[in-house]
Amino acid sequence: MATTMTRARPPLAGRSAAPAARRRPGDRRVSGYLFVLPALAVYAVFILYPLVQSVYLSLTDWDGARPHKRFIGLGNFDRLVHDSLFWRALGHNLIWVVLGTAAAMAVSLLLAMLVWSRPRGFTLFRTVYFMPQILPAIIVGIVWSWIYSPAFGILDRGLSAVGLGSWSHGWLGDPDFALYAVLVASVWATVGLAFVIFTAALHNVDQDLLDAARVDGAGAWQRFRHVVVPQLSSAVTLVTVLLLVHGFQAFDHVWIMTKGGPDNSTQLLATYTYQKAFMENEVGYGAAISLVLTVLSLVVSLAVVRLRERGER
Amino acid sequence: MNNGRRTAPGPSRRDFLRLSGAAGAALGLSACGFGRTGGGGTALKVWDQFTTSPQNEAVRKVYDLYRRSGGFTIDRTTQPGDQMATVGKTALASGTGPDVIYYEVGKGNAGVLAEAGLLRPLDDLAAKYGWLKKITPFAAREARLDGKLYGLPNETETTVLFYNKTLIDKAGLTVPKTFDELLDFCARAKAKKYVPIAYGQADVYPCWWAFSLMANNIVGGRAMGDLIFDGRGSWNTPQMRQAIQLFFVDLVKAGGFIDDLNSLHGPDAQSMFLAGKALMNINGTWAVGAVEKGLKGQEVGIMPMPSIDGGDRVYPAGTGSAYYISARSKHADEAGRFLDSLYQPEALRVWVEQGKIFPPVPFDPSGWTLSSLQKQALTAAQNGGGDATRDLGYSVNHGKAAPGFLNAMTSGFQAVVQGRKTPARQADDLQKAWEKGL
Repeated sequence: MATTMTRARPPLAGRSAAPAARRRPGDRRVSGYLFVLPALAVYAVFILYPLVQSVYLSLTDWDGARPHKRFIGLGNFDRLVHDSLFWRALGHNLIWVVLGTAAAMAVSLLLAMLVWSRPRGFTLFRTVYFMPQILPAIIVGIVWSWIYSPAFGILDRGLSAVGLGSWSHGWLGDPDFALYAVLVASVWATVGLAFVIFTAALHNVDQDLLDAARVDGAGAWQRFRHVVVPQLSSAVTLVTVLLLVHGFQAFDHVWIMTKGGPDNSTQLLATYTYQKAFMENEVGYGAAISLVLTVLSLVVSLAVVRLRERGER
Repeated sequence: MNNGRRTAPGPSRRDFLRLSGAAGAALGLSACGFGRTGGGGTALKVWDQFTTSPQNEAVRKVYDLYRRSGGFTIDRTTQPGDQMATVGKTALASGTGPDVIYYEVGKGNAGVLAEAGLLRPLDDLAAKYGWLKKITPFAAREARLDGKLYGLPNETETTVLFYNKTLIDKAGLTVPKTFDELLDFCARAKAKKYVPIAYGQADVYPCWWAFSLMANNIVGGRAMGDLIFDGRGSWNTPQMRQAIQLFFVDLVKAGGFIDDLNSLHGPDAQSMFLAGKALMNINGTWAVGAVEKGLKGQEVGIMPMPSIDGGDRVYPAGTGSAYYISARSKHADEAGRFLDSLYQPEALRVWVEQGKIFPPVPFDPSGWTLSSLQKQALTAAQNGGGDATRDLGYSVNHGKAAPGFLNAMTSGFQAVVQGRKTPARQADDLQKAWEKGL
């Protein structure tokens, strides 16, 4: 920040201004640091310190209660490698991230395109599409559990009402369907933010380019693919990174709806972390799983940003 | 600025310092407790799990009885059990937590806190107040860890089958007494479009109840106690395999439950029973209040699992949670007095009559206002309806059951119902998880 400010300062006009000028940069630097300090302190206390603590805990076999933490080196990570449930949870996470990101991206972009021309009722549509985003996860989880309920769920009743009763299912109770059923609820809840970002980005799409493409005979799909999408690249990057990180951190909807079951078929790394650390009193092992999750999120997010930047060049 | 461009006027350094000073003062005041609410006098911090009605109201009255008897002011915090398990541990370890905490019993729960030295042994207080002469032996067994008494159990929980006699009569069926009769009952009830037994295992715990009912009937209450509390016996015996086979395979095939029982949550199963869609419900005596309220005017009864091969019918019992005193409490003596007040006659009446909770101590309920269902539940809790040594057993999720064993039950029984695992393999997996947790 200080460097930027110094660069922005124009050359001084005269020699008489020199003493004041020498004093000002220092003053501004101090002020700058003081302004940054609270945010830095918050970041250090709530992000850096817990991260360092997590690393430390992952090297211990602490149960969350004992006053002393026994150092076991990389023992937890060695155990991770041989833990079949960890790999299963990781596989579920990958499905979740890939499918969840693609679905949320596609749906939100489609919705944004539909209201791009600001049709009548635009504000209502925007509110309705965004609303799931502001609902607490617990509400989303409970409502979707009701929708899927085999006893009184609206989904199975709806299917029966239209003659598709044979499709009725215990959606959250079947290990083959449960992960996807929860994912649908999660996508529904996360589409709102991506929709708003795409809606804002679409307002900046150059209409002249679109008109030129139309004059040149480009069809709707070609205009979308070659004119609109390139102008949304920053928004696409932002949304992708947000959805990826959100996907890796997925916990709440799964925990509320299935608690990782049935038969661990919806177990994700975050739910497995919680289970180990807080239900089975293996805080050290839970910290090791959470670190893997953190590293994965970071690596994938950085990779996406780098790929995008390279594409833009 | 002399460069001809105006910059937005920001706060001066002095403004910043003023702001920082104000923020610091606010922080300091809040740290000193400025703005906190609460009564005067010395307070005893009590954390419990009675979040629902009517227990919540009853507990408030019981605590008030203690305070009116000259006790400290109670600074009460209520949290659901799973939240208590995570927050309670941290709070006790920090030294700023409660003086008294109502926490789940068992090796994987309060046992972890006791091993970490966060709980105060109660043997001296038990001797002073004579608690061990009052509480039932099984309750004392629940609260003991490595030979020391750490907790004071407060409720006897019995796992039962609720049955709606009114609805069963209407359906032209009779309440089954043997397991073969139960299989037949299920098939006939299903044909009449009733759900025979409202039971779902989407949540982690209902399968523990079901397995407890089956295993106690087949193995016997005493043997179950030896296995669960002393580790004598094993989970992969032919009897245990039979218990798994009969409930999670045969009863499922006989149409005993809804088709997708793995996706039905425990509360939803109970709602199904209360809505009159199901004839029976696997639950516990803790649900008596809700059942009475939901099925007003209907004849409802409780019973253990029907007899298997002519064996005894055993109620699995346990004491979900117990009151513990923090090792760091500065008011341990007063906390002891508080615990003793919970068993005083006046308090017992409130627990039973209003809270529908049955403390594991002898008491004479004559003259108390109890419903028929409450009386049945009380009898089940006190002696299993007959001889306590024969008719009262133990819940499989208590004693030495570690969290890994509990998880093995939940995920394993879900897999058995799905046909992805055989009862024999599940029994072996339970034994492995049990040994690992010891």
